[in-house]
Amino acid sequence: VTEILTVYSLVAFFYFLVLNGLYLFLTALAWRDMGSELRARRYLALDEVFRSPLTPGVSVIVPAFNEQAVIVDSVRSLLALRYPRHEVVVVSDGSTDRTIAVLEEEFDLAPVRVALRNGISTAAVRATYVSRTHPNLLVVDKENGGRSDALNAGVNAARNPYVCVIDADSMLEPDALLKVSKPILDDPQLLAATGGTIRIVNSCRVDYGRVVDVRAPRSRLATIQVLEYLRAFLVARVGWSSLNALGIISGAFGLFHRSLVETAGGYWKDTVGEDFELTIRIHRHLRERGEPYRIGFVSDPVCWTEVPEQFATLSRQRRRWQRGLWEGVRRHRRMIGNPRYGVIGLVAMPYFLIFEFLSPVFALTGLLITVVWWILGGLSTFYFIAFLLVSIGLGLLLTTAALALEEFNYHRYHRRRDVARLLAYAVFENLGYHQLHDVWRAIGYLDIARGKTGWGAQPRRGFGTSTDPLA
Amino acid sequence: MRLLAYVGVVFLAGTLLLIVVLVARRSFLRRQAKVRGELVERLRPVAIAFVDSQEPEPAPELHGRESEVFAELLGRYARSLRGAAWGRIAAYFEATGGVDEQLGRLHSRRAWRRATAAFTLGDMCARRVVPELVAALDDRVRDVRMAAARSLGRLGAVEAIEPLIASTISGGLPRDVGGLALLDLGPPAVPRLVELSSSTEPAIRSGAIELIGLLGEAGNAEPLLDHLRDPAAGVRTASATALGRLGAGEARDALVRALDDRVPDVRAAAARALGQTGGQRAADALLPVARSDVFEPARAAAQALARIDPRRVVEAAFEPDAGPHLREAADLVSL
Repeated sequence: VTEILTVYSLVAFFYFLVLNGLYLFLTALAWRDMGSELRARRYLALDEVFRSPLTPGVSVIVPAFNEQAVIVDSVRSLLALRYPRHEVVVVSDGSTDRTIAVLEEEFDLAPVRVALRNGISTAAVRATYVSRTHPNLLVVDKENGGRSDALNAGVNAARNPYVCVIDADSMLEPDALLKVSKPILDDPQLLAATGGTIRIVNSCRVDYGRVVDVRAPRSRLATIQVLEYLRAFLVARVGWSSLNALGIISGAFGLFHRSLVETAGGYWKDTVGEDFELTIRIHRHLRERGEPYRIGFVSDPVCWTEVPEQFATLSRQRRRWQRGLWEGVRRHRRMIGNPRYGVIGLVAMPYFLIFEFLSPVFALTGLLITVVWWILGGLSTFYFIAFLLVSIGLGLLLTTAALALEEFNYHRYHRRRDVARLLAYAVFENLGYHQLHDVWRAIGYLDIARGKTGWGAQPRRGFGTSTDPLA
Repeated sequence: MRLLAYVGVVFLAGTLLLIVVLVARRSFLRRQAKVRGELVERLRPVAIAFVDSQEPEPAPELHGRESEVFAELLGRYARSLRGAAWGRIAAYFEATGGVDEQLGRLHSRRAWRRATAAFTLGDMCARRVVPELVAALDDRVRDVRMAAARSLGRLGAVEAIEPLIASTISGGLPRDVGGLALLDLGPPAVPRLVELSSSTEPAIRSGAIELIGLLGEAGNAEPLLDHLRDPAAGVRTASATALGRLGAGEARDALVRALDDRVPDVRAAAARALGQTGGQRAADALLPVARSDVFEPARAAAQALARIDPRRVVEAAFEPDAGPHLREAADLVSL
C-alpha cells in the first residue's frame, strides 16, 4: 500500500507538471502571438473595413431566457456597434418574465410575420417582431427549447451571410464586431469561424449599454474569475489558436459563416456545452471533407459579461461546464487520437479528455494522498514543502504571466489598486479556490452519472442605469 | 528532492520578477501617456492650422517626440483630406525625411516593419512612393501586400490599377482589400475591368463585374448584359447585381429572364436588381417568384416588389397563396 500511494502521489505530481508545462508552453505562444497582434494593430485599417461597400453583413444572435434585467442594455450596445451592415436578432426562448415586454416598450416593436428558414428544426416560433425605431432589430418569440434551440432559431432567422453569437447578459465593445470579423473578411476562404475575448463586467461602470470604466470586481469570487478568464482567453485560446487547434469558440462571443453552421446541422440540443460541441463538429466536418480551414481567435475584441458572485451559482456553472465538456468529448470520441483529424484529433481532443475532463481526479486525489501520506509520515516534510512550493509557484507564475499579458497589451485596468487586487488574488486562488473548483467539477462527474440535463437558474443583476444612445 | 525545491523557488522568483517588470512598465507607460497627451493637445491646433490654412504655412520646427506626434496627427488628418492640404502634408514629410525613412523600412527584414511602412506611406500623401508600393504588392507576406494596396488606393494611384487587379485576381490580395483599393481609385479603373470581364477565368470575370457595378455608371451596363447568360453561375450573379447597382433600365428584360435561372442565387440577384431598376414589367415578373420560389429568391423578390409597388405587395399578401415572403414584405410596408 505504501508503495502504491507513493507511486500514485508521484504520478499525480507528474500529471500536474505536464499539465502546467503545457500551460507554460501556451503562455509562451500567447506572448509571441500577442507581440505580432500588437504590431499588426498599426496597419489594421478598421476604418477602411467600416466604410467598404464590400464588407458583408453580420447577424448578431442573442438567445434570451428570462433576461428582463439585462436585455435592454445588451440590445442597445449591440445596435450601437460600429459595423457597416449588421442586424440584431433576439430570440426569446419561451421567457416567462417580461423579456418581450421590456423590448416592446424600449424599442417600439411591431409584430411582423417574418419568413424564417427551416434549415434547422426548432421548437415552434410564436411570433416575430421588428422595431419601428431600429429596423435592424428583429425579435423572435418561440416556445422554450433550450439555448441551442434558440440559437438555431436565430440562425434560421438571420438575414446576413455571417452570424455572431453572444449571450444576453453580455455587451460587445463598439469595435468588437469589426475586429472579430476582420480576419474572416481578409481571408474568407480559409477562416471558418473566429472568437473574441470575454471579460468580466461585475463592478465596472456601465452607461448607455457600454462599459465606460473598467474596475476589478468588488466580489472576491468575481475577482478570482477575472484571473481565470485572463488565463483562458489571453493565454489558452491565443495559444491553441496559434497551433490551429482551437477547440472552443465561446458561446458568449463567436462569429461563424451562417451556411457552415447550417451545413454542420446547427447547435446540438442535447448538450449544455453547445459552443464547444459546435466548434469540434465544425473541425470534424471540414477535416472529413479535406477542406483547408482555420478557426481563429482574436484577443483584442471584447465582450463583457456578468459572472456569478455566489458560490452556489458558480458551482452550478462549473458543474454544467464539466457536463458540457463530457458531452462534447463523448459525441466526438472517434476523433481522439485519430490522425485523420490532424492536430485537433491528436492534440486538442486528448487534451480535453485527459487534462480538462480528468484533471479534478488527479488534482484532488493527488493532493489528498500527498497530505495524508505526509501526515502519516510516509513522505518527508522537505518533499511536502517542495511539492507545495512547486505547485503554488507554478500557479502564481502562470497567473502573473496572464495578468502581465493583459497589462502589456491591453492595459484595461487603469487603477493601480485594481491591478494590486488582482495580483493578491492570484495567491488566494492557489490556496483554496483551485481545490474548491476541482471539487465542483468532481461533483460534475456525479451529475453526468445521474444523467442530469438542463441549465438550472441563472440569476441576473443587470448592468446599471442607462439611456439609449441611439434615441 | 532538492531539485524540486529549487524549481519551486525559481517559479516564485520568476513571479516576483514579472511583478517588478509589470509595475515598472506600468509607471513608464503612465508617464509616456501623460507626455503624449500633453503633446497632442499642444500640437493639434498647430497641425490643424498647417493643413487648413489658406496661405501656405511654414512647417513648424519640431524634434524628437514632438515631431513623431505631429507626424501622427498629420497622417490621421491625411485620411480625410484632399487638395492643397495633401500637397502641404507631402511637402512636410518630404522635408523632414519621413518619406525616405519609411521607404527604407519598406525593405526591412521584418514583415511587420514593412507592413507598417507600407501603411504609413499611404498617409504621407507623397505620390513618388507609388512604384515602391506597387512592388510591395508582390511581397511574400500578405499583411505587407494588404497595407500596400490600401495605401495605393489612398494615394489615388491610377497607375496601380493593373497590378492591383492582378494581385486581387491571383489571390495575393483578399478580394475585399483589393476591391476597396480599386474603389478608392474610382472610375479610371473601369475600362480595364471591362476588359477583364471577358477573361477565360470565371473568378476573374465575376470579380471584375462586381467592381464595375460599384465603380461604373449606366453606360457601362451594356457589356454586362451578355454575362447574364454566362456559363458560370457566379458570373451571372455578379452581373445581375452589377446591373442593379448601375440602375440599368435596358437590362430589365434580361433580368426578368434571369428570374428563371436554374440557380437560386442568380434568381435572387436578378430580383434584387429588378427592385433597383423598377418598372411595371419587373413588378409583374417578381410577384410569382415572391409567391412560390425557394427562400432566397422569394425573399429578394418580395422585397424588390415592395420597393417598386408597395400597394401591390399589401394586396397580394391577402391572397391565400401569398406565401411567407409576401406577408413579411407587406407587414414591413405597413410599418
